[in-house]
Amino acid sequence: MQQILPKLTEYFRPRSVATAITLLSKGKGRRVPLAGGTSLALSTSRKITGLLDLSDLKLRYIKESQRSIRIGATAVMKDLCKHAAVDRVAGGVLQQAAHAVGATPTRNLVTVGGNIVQLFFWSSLPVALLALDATIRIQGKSGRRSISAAAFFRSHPKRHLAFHELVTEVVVPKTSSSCGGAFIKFARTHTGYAMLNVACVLERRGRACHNVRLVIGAATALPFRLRKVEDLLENAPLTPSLLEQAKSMTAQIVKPVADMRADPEYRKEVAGVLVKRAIQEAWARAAQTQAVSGGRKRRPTASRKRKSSGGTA
Amino acid sequence: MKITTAINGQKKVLSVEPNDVLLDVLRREGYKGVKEGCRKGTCGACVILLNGKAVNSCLILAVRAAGQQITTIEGLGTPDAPHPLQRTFVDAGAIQCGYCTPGAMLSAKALLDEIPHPSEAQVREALDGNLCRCTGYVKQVQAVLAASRILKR
Repeated sequence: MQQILPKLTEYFRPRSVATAITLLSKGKGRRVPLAGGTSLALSTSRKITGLLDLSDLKLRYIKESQRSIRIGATAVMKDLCKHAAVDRVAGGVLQQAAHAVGATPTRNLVTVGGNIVQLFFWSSLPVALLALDATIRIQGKSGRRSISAAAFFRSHPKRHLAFHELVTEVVVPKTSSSCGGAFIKFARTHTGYAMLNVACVLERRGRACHNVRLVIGAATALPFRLRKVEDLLENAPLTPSLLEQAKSMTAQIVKPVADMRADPEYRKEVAGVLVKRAIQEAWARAAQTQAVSGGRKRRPTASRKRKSSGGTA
Repeated sequence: MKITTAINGQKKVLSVEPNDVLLDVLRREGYKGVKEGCRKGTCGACVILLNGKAVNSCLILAVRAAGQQITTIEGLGTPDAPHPLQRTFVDAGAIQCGYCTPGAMLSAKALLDEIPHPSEAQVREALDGNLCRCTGYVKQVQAVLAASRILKR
């Protein structure tokens, strides 16, 4: 067995983000942030000489405001799984994506920041965050910046994040009651690594879909949006033939890689099926929320009462 | 470096290297109920409770345990007064070779501490990180549900 982090000599536990960034800056790329640590505890990298434990930075939170949900970088998957406000976002798409990570003991460790920065091929959270048009907040030695999930996942985050930068927060916009969503992980077992991930978020108005966002992950190195399929669905009545078109179009667009879990031809075919299912599920969830709060304005307002279904009995 | 933790309710000062994995440190300290299986967070044989939450000790660097509460299987019951889970696992026949048992039992304990009367689905989810290759899972689920009924009384 190879030794874990053989060159590691330093361990820091800063108490503020500012101190953490100073320590990272001085590390010149050889000190790395330690959040859940699930990949660092398996790393045999000889480059890493120092770890910055983020445990004391008070970044483990989920805060709800009028328009959005702010999730601290060290919140773990389990925190997302059992948070009522997270569950209400787009029919629970974010909650489903968090639940798709590993098994209970790993969901207690894996953090939001770690999951999006590491961006493994099979990672589920990035797929949902793209579908939800989330914003990523980053702090570095030259200050703070916010970038869209689309920009954050356009290339691998480890490539574009500077060594002195830290992801501090993920901001997810709240969705209206006419908005539904679904996340589907396709794997051999429910705790297994994904062969494909699909997320769909859409708004239901009458018989038609609007603002459809479809994202596919674990097909290629980076998750991506199926814009052509989104355009096909936009403002069109959701008929069985439209769903079939979405399915075949997906199979045509996706150019998946091969790995030990599935070959490209199989992935292409399954991708079409999953996209169809995700649209159907998202649609059904939008309907359910509409039934509870039909007739309300679509935009969240301060006076709007929160939906009180589920979990309170 | 030295870190202070509480293991099974007792204060412990441990001497660790920054790259020591918690699984190895615990076994070195004599907590042999913490089993090494896959060593990559898949099998759950090394599951312990960190501040009451089930986690894979193979995926945690030992330094992170500083100031935290650890529970291993050694902290559950005694031969004379076993924990309800230990009794029901035996009664239900949920133990065969026993290698996965400490991890599975601790996952079950974390669940019952949080949700004393779980549904079967909740039990299955709580045990989803513990692979068993002998008895399967039906008896384990029965055992956890039986323990929850004992705790109810």
